[in-house]
Amino acid sequence: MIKSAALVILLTALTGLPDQATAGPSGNLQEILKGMDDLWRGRSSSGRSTLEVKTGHYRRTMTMDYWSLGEDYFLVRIAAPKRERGTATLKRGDEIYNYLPKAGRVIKIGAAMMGGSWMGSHLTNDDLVQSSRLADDYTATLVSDKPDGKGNRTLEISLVPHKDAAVVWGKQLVQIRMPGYIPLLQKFFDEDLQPAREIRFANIRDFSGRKIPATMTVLPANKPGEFTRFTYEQIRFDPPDLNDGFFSLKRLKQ
Amino acid sequence: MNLVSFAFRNLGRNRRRTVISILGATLSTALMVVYGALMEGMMDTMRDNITRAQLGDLQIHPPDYRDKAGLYLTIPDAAAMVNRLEEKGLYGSARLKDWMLGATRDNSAGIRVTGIDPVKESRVTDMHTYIARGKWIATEDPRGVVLGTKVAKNLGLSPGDELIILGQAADGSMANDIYRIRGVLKPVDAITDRSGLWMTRQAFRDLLLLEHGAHEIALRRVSEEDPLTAAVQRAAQVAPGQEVESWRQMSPAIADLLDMSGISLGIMFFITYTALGLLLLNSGLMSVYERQRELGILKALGMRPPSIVVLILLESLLQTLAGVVPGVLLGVGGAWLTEYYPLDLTMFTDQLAFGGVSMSPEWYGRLTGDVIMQPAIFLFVIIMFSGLYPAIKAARVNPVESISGTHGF
Repeated sequence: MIKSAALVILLTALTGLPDQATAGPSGNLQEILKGMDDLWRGRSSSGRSTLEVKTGHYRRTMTMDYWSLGEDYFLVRIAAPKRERGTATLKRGDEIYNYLPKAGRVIKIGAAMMGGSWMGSHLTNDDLVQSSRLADDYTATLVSDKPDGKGNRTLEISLVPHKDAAVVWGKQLVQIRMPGYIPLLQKFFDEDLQPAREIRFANIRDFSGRKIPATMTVLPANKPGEFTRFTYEQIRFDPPDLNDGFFSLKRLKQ
Repeated sequence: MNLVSFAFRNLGRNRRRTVISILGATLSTALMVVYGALMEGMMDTMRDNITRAQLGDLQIHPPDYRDKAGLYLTIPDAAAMVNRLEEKGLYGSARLKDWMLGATRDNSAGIRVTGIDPVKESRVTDMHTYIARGKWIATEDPRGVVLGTKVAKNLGLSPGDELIILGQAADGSMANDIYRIRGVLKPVDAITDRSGLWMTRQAFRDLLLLEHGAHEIALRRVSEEDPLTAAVQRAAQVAPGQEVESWRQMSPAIADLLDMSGISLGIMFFITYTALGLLLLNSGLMSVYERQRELGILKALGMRPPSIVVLILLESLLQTLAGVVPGVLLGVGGAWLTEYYPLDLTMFTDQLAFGGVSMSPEWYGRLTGDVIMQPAIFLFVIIMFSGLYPAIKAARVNPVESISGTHGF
């Protein structure tokens, strides 16, 4: 996990799990962070997920199909509800495009739109292009290391960004279950070290032999009661024919 | 002896001086009338631009709209409210407003979208007359939108071009649709120029899935005589719990500027008439000085000092009357011309703006009763003051010294 946002996790995720046998709880923090970073990265995957958004004014659920390749490419397309079917987002490197079926047009998301909400969720377009690696961009300190009584341990790690790191957070706090690098909780603090949002991971499921939290809930700190929740329904690892040529503007419109 | 005919005779003694004094009064009065009319015209244009362009005389908003403005903060029963307001002598236009994104193939910009009923809006504001190219929005053309001048330029759009609008609908979904530019506005105000987009109210509702309510009701008094504060009170009765503000409250900077114009006019009067007052003071003193022997004789013959004061003041007054009457006539003529033939400022600038309100570079005057009366009254006051000193001097002449010429004035 642990790029800066759950959405990125959703979209670039779930491939190339590290060899769980080599990195036990005894590994140092850098190794653990690297394991976590890699948990959500790797080669390619595709699948279906649901996105549920609750705000003070509405609650909505969307079903989305997604394809992702490494960190730089993803395509996500709304399958339901019908009114929004076909609306799609393509990420290619630092560029984001939206396809608007109603207008029949592709829009490149410019700087003015980066702060805008993505699909009405609690994530912004900017969250989609942010990519940072915990192992590279943060200095980690172990806060606690507790056995959970079932042979696993829960590590709590405090992360402070390096001075020159291009990250928007002032601090992060993560809880990770070892072995397996399974994230449980990730808290984000702004530059004034006030809580900004947290992501809760739950519903750890086995996808093709890989244990992954199937549900991620984003809770903005300044809007109590609101949330955005992703749930993986299906994941297919390393599907054939998923190379960088797949992620084209033509594909976006299909 | 009759003081009035005495005063007339005295004025005829030095005709050149009298004529110069009268001309001074004539010219300064005429200038002040024309200047006042031009100031009045400018203030009127500003007031019109701000209220007629899009503010209206007053507006109704949901409480706290300044802090919390957003799609969901609405006046729930706006349509019914507009009908009730009309019974109270106020034309109303319910508006929907939200910030969205306007995008073309290569460009995007934040836009403030306003959804209106063009028929109702035309009774409140003159937005429809601000079209520079193309046409104003029309109910029968829900896909036709009108853009502010700068945002159209920045997005490279002209009438007939397409624009995609993106926003967040009331149900959280991504609102998006494609529209055609129907018209581009002339300069209106800073925000409208930079980001304004107008569409029909139904188009707004369809785009953002907002079925009821309005974000703002703009109002215009049916009668211009209707005092603004009374209109605010009546609107508040119709819209309990909502915020009702006059344009003066919404644009205090402009309101202050308009109020200040009275003060600046006063300062102009003061400067001009002080100069004129000194001129008259000088000529008054000279005329008294020339006549000190005669005044001495008058006193010796038994004329009381108060009569002498009245005599000298009468001379001033007659001169003033002789100057003010043609001055006012001349000024009214000049001011009347500026109502039809504006001063053309295009040689200095294409576009004028005061306090964020765009103005046409054609400067029209406006003639009102105040414009005529104020300079005339001001002039009388000044002249009486400038006549007082020579009059008192004359009254205090010592008969013996002045007749013998042994005492200087």
